[in-house]
Amino acid sequence: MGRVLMWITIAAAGAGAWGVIALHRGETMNAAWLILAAVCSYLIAYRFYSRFLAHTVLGLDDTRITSAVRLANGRDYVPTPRWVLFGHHFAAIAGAGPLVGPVLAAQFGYLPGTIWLVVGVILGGAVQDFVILVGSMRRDGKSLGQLAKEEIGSVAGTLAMVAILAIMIILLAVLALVVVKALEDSPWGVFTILCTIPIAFGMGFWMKVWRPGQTVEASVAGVLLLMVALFAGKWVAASPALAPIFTLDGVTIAWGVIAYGFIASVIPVWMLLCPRDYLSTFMKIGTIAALALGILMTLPAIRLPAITRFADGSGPVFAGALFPFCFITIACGAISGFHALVASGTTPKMLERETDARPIGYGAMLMASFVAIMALIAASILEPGVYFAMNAPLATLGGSADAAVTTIREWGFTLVPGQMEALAASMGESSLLARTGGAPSLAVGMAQIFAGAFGQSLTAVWYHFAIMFEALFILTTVDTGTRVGRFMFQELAGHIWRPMARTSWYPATVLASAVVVGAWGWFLIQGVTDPLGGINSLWPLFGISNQLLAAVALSVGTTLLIRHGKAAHAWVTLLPLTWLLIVTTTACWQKLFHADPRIGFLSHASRISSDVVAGVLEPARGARLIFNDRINAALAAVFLIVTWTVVIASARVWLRRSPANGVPSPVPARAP
Amino acid sequence: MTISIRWARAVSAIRRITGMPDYSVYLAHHRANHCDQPPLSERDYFEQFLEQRYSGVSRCC
Repeated sequence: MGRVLMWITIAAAGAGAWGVIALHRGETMNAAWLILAAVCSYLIAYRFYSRFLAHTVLGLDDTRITSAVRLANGRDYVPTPRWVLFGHHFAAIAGAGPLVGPVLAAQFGYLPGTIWLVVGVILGGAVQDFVILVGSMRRDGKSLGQLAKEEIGSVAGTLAMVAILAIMIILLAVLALVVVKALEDSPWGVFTILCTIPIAFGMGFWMKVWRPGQTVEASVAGVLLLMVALFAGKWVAASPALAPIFTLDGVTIAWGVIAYGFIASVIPVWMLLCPRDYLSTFMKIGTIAALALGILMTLPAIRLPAITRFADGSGPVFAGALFPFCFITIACGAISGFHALVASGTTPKMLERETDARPIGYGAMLMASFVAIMALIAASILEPGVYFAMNAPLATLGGSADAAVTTIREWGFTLVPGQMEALAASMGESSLLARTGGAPSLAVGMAQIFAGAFGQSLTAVWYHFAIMFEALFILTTVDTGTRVGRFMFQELAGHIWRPMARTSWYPATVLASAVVVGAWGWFLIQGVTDPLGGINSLWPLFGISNQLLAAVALSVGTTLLIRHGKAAHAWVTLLPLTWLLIVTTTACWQKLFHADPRIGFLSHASRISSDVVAGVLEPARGARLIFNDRINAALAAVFLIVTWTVVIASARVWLRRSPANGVPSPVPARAP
Repeated sequence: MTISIRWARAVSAIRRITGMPDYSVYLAHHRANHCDQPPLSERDYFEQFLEQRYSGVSRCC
């Protein structure tokens, strides 16, 4: 009885909070309502929907021995206590995606993003992670590509691998671009991030040579040194002799990131890649916890409108209307195809009991969604004028601080002359105008929350702490992603020329690393030199690719359910799959063929060529921009074709296996 | 439970959450299943673990 009352109270509180959000009018709204609405929705979904998934759809059964127990080897197959594994899985899935996407989507206002994050995770993202985790757990921890090959067919399997590699390339390029945009002309940020490299070498030496295996103490020492570097950065930025050395333009930083990605991928992992991974994981967990604490302590006021006028597609942060682009921009946090790779990677080999998959598969994704809600809150507490002055490209703002004031006012928001300069000074930066990419505005929001909760005098330090935290784990994604991309490329290239597949052969390693770094580096340089800032065209492409990977994962999930006698419940994956196919196909189509040159790659290319003919653009630069547009268009088309091929191949399996057709499945009855 | 056991458990949990190698887990597994062979040294275990962890997708964006 008490439990029933408790759930009725939670449901009523959640419904009440959604009601307050829906009916709210006026200048500001307290962030507590967003938190209450989201958390109550998560609790209800976890208690009821994930229980239905666990018991009825997936049939989790603790009498069945998991692969972690059966194949235990003390290395990757390790039965792990439920809450430790929850932390492990959460640390693996929560990254830059759920932090940056919601900040960019805030150009539509806080409401569309909030609704999509909550509804999307409950019915889509968490279901995908859960189903794939269980599917992989019951097949000895097989990867998504292997599952696709086994369940759908070898063509689908190979296509899935090609799609994963292509998505990695775009992901690495766009995340590297976020870092470049955050560190541009920021000596404090550049110095702190550069310090992580010698710190990582020192940690590597500590845990490999000096005290083998002592990773925890090396990491604690590393985190302490990082804090020293953070404070030293302030001094460097204030020094007239040192500041110019660390004040770098975007192209220079981009080449630095490219060189870093290549070196980290070819040298032994213990030197650079692994210690930086530990540093970033410690920082990530600590900072996310601090952010949650800070938001709860300060309960800041949301200043952004619920819905802005840019829902019509005229927005300066990225082009495109609320439908479909809100659902593309926010991928991680609502549904992220990349999670399917993690859920079919290390985690399924560590599940001690089958029922542990429910908190880890479904629960950890709800937590990741909550991180995205916090990022959305951090962006929404900025004044709308400040948010748009930071996130719109300089060309759109009019080219100068004075012009920006006029432009922002024309958009219907307020910005006082000198306001951006004062804000930049308080954050220890030279300028915050047109700092696109999402990371700087998230950092300003986080700095205001931390300053409110833990001390006003340190605002500039908090800002650079937030920038360091974002750059640190994005660069860790860049180096580990490059390494994984290298292995994938070697495997695929090995089909054509066998020696390429030998991962221990140094020339093959160097060549494959160069190919992978070259591919994402090309998109990165394209983004950095783009007059509109690059995020504009690359982030939608990343969102599309991630959502299409989710469509592939949900097709695999649906196939698992149908092939193993759960066709009646296959709607749990078919529902989000249908929505994603509608959203991504529309978005792909618009990116390819939309008449507005701000949205469509091809119409942008034809606008450029008419500019060249008219003589307003020099031909060499025009030719390069047109080439970029065509590559982007080709990539969007390839994503779309690959995904639909996998979906259609899966649908053929579904129809063949469906009991309604009277064809009994040759596979022994085994739950997915 | 003594403080040293609690401490060892906490460190083991941190290691597994952050994806670090945990030699004590390996040793326990080895003792239980392969007691006829000598176990790997901590250094060799560390190297093998890293090789495995960084050859597949271990994180999201």
